[in-house]
Amino acid sequence: MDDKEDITRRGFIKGAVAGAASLAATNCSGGGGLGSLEAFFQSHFKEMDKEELQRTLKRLEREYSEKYGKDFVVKADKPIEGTLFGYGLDISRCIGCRRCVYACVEENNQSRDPQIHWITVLRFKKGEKWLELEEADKYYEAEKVPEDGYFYVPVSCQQCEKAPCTKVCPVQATWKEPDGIIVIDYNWCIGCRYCMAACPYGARHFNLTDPGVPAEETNPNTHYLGNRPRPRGVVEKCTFCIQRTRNGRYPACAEVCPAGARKFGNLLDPNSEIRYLIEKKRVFRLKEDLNTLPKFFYFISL
Amino acid sequence: MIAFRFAYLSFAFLLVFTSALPCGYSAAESSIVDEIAEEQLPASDDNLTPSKDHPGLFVNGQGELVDDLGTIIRLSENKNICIKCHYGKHEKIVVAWDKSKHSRKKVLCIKCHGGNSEGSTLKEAKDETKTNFKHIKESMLKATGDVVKELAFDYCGQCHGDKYRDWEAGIHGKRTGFWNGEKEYWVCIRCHDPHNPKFKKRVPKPRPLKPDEIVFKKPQNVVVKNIKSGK
Repeated sequence: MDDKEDITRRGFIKGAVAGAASLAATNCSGGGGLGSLEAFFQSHFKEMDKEELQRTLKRLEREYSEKYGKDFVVKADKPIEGTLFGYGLDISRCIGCRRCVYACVEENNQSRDPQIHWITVLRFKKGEKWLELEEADKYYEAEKVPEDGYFYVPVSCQQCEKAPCTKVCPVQATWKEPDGIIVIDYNWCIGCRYCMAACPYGARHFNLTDPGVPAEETNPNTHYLGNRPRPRGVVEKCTFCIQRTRNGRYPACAEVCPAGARKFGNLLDPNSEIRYLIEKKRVFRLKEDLNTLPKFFYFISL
Repeated sequence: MIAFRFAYLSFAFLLVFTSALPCGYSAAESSIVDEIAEEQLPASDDNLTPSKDHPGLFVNGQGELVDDLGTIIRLSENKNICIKCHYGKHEKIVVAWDKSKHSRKKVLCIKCHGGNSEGSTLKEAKDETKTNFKHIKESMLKATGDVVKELAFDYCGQCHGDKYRDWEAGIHGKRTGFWNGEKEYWVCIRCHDPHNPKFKKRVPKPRPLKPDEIVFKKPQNVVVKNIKSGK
């Protein structure tokens, strides 16, 4: 069949190069072809100068607005000076209602179909050995939560100080920002999924197909390194809601938690909530023996 | 006196048994109704005159409020003293309170709603200087800034000091707004029903799909070819 395109990676690159030559010659503007061509020649996020960054953001805004039919804002806010973000989660208060999971999906434009959740709520039986995260029940169903005799541990990206996922990336598409957030440049990611294999917390997720997000449910306030709509074939994960927290707001999961179990703050500020709970409460981190130094602190406040 | 104590004890037992029943509401209601009916016995002392303000109670020669056996009643000591009149109008509140830990620990109406616990008549009991019968909820929910902290301390913090300390630091309870700027403190009663403060159970959101339940659709405009066979 001639009208269907047979796309292989090599063929695509050949075509793109040929297309680049012809487009440069005719100097035509607009259309999806030019957008994807610009994307192809786009630099790494950290190597972009101001001008190119602005051009890229404008292009992405245009692309998303066309695709979803509403005005998108793609920002690239820089880290606030003197911040190192930390997260606290009170497992004695968490009731396992999964409201954080769905608030995260809505805020961060996660794929609904096929389903991707950045937060996984694990259920453990009280009084039993529970540190085997892989054996925990994350598909629990209950009429009402909390169920008697169980406790819940929501797990998402732990934003490690010594993150194993950034070390294994062959193209440096993922790295730690100065405020401690591990981010991904979705335009630079090649989809090799080494980082998913390296992450001990199962926090990274892969877009096997085009993410299915209904246009009316998209969140148009986005960040380049955070919740902008992702293409197929890239890895994504929690970024502490980079688009919110770099403007001073709490992450979406912390704002929605009905039990108030989620705490967020600046680890470098001695008067912050996160420092108070680390100093005053019993705190632990997941898989501390791996020396990944997560900035996600679980605590018990009873 | 002894009979009264016995009645009180039996009420306590009733509470223990009814709280174990699955149909808590109807059982708790009947326990209070029975209790009220039990106490409304005819007066055994001729010196007592029926109280106008508190039906079922009496006023003795000194003008003090007494029960049928002549025991002086202080509002703080008898947990049913407010309920006697208010049960009809505030049935839901009374039942909720009756099932709560506040009831078992004898945190009575007047602790929050004010009133004069030494008062023996309705007028004295409704001491205006200590009373804030209706507006606690509104004032707490509408308050802003430091007033929120004062109210939270006045009504809940005086007993729940540890929780209040954590709440003030932002560790207990919910806060919204800005992590580096203005925060909105969620005052106690926005999450806890003051008459039955235990956190309510909720319906959880649907579970995530298991790997074999997720359907991956093929991209529409691409034909995937088997490289080896060429088909």
